Amino acid sequence: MTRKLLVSLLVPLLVLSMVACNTTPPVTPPQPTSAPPTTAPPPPAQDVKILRLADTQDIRNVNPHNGNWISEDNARGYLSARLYRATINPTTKKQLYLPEAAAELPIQMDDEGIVWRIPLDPKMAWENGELFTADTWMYTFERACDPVMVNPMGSWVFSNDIIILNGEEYYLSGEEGTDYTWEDVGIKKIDDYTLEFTLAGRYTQEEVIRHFTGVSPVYEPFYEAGMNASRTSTTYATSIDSFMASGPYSLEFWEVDSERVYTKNYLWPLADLIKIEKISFSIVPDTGAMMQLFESGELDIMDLDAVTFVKYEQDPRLHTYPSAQVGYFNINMANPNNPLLSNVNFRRAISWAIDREAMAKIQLSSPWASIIPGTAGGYGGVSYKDLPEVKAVYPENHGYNPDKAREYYDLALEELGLTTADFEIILNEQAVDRRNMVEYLQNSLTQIFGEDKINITLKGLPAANASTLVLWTEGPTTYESGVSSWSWGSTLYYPNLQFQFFTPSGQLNVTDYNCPELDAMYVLSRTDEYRMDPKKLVELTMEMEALLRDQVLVIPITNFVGRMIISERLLLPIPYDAELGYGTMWADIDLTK
Amino acid sequence: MVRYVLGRLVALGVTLFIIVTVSFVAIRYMPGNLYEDPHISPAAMAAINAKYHLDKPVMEQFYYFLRGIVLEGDWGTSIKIRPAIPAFDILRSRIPVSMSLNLISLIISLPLGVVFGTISAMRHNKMIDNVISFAVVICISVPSFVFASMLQYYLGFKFGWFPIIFKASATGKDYALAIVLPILALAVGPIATITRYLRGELIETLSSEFMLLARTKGLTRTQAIIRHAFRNSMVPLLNILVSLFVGILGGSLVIERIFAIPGVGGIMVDAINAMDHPLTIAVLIFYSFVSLIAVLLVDILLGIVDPRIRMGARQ
Repeated sequence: MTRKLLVSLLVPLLVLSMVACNTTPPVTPPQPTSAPPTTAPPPPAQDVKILRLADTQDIRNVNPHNGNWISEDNARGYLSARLYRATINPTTKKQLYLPEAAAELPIQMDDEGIVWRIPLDPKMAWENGELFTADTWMYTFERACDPVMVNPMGSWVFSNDIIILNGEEYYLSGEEGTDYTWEDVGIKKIDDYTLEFTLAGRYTQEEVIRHFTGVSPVYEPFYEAGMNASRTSTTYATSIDSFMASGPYSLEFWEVDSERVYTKNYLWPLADLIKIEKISFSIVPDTGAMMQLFESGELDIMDLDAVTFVKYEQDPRLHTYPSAQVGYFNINMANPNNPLLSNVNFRRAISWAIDREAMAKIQLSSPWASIIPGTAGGYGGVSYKDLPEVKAVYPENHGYNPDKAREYYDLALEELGLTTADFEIILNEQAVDRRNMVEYLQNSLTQIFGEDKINITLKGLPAANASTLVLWTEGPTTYESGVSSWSWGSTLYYPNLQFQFFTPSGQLNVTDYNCPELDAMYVLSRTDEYRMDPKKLVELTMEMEALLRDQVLVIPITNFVGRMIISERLLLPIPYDAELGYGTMWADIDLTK
Repeated sequence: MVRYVLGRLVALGVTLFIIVTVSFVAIRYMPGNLYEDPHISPAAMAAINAKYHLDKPVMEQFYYFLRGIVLEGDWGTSIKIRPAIPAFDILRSRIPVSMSLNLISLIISLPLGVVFGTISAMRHNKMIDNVISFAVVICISVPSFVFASMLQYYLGFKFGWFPIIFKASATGKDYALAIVLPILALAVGPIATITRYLRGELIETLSSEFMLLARTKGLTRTQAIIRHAFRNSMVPLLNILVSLFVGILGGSLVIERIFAIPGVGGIMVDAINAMDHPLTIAVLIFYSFVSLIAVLLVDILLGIVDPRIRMGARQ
């Protein structure tokens, strides 16, 4: 009886398991139907140049309205068209903007630079051969700004390098609507192959181009097919079946959280510039497994963190590059539960007591006492950090001075009538380097101020909880202090944009740092007068930094350094460039290695 | 028997409801906010929170959640891991891989555990018994992810016999090779557990008087073991099947990450870390449901194998 029962249960289970085990077979993407290939057909399989990449986490979608991770923007760069594409100038090896879905560079329609027209390339096609028109882009822009969908990436369309008139006002008008309608937004179709943009201020042609190098189209039939009944969200581009490519590559295979394969799209207007035929992305959550893949020659590029870097420190294949990410120590001065935090002398004491050299060693980054990242632009071809006037005010010893720290600390305790200072630091338990930094901070501050005068409690949290508390999304009492890091690519051109994280008028204000004087300066720095005069902008940015440093609204501690190991078979077209990175999209593969 | 099964089903439903309620409330009260993104303006963030009812009190959110499940079969929508995708659809795409790995591991574990347990019991205190017992202790003591890492490093990376990670695009022989290491890693613990239990039970049964009677009736030792000893040893073995299955499920959370398998385990860890509460709750419900079903199946099997159990339940 028992034997029969077991056999009758186990056999069907085994069969079911084997059947279920086979995951979804690769889906063949739609084949081109109308537009002819612009270059030669693919080479024979044995000569195919395949770039093998991996990441610890898969992208969630390729929807330009929804995917706000850097990896998702990278994926869109490979798979979706842009109006303009940042490429490499073959002579200077610097950035060169080329029209992609646009037919030519933007045309200024008025004297101020407020109205711009972009002619479209009538030969631009989706991977299925269907041609683009102005309606393709109008649908894309309207959905991006849709006040019912409230797409997270909406602002990338109406407010990034340029601000489109009434874009944000319409986006935030809610389901009930306000006085703003889509008709009020400064995006208009002039004819089937011309778009016109009315901006909220004066902008240069380069700014308009740069803005549209970050905006991708959506394929209306799939977008609408994935829309829910209330039209609040769509499943567009969340799987291979719901996405239509139009960029340098097509999506050949995508098993979410496992693998993506791109193949060169010969319909893409700049296909001649692409040398790699296929790109294979593996999702490998375990860094140990990723290292094994790289060592066994199954990966071409691997990002290194503070732990994995040690193994490749002396490896000639190691590449390091400056990052726009600045690490900060945040003291939540608005927390009403601990008056210590709002005392400016206490914050000054902490700032002077942080040994940034030691912190940077733990994180394998650069010690940093400036709000602005080292990659930020200045003027006259000199970066912000290298300008003589900026260097002149940079704090000695990266702002580490224990004696000064003790002076401010005693002053703070006296002002508050305290003998001991108690406060809590939250830490991200999953990031080893951050945890070590916070533990080091606890010890070093205790040593400087004395065990009897300071009591620091550490509170470990998972990554998402720690970061969301620092974002202060649930009110001022959620945390007392913690480390965070922020970066914004456009600081490469406008150093003042780093302040948007720390001012109420900043679009990305992460915490309610309410300093009206700084806020007024930030608003001023965003005006045409400053934005279009780099020297003037630097001067104002320096004033803002001096104020922020004096009030210690946030404490900069490190500037990150990017590290990756790159296999010898990948032939990079340029050394690292702040605008283009390593130009991996334009790289080649040495098939002999 | 029908009344017994119905009783177990009602208990399953009540338990599941309690788990769902506690999970929902506990997860919602975790510190932090569900939707946050430093690259989105606070006004836009508020609008997005309102869209998902995240600006409402927790009990109102729970009402929306239950209403969604009961009226529309809607388990909620992922907010961070796969924005806009229904949590149930995400689970549905992951369950086949996870469940197949878990079931194959269990199915492999059973016969191997029975064989080793039987050999060990029949050769009690002999060399082979000592070797098996030593291996069992090692396999039970060492967590499955350690085995997984060792298998991956030696058999995958060093010797190159198997792929280092699972590749979804693999088919046929490549696919079969890709699932060998994770299945082995998952099966090691259960094989050892079954071996240990069966050995203990069989040793006790073999020395009992009814086995002596069976032998005096003319049965061979093997016949006596298969026909009588096994049947008596089956009840405690069935009892541990639930814990074995749940253990494999738990183990696969880590194993899936090590071998890059796109299963439920990975999504569970990611959802918790990313604070994707709707998806976390859906995965928790799935794990609870599977575990409760396993308990139900074993209860039914026990009722069949040993009628005294269901009679006891009726009394």
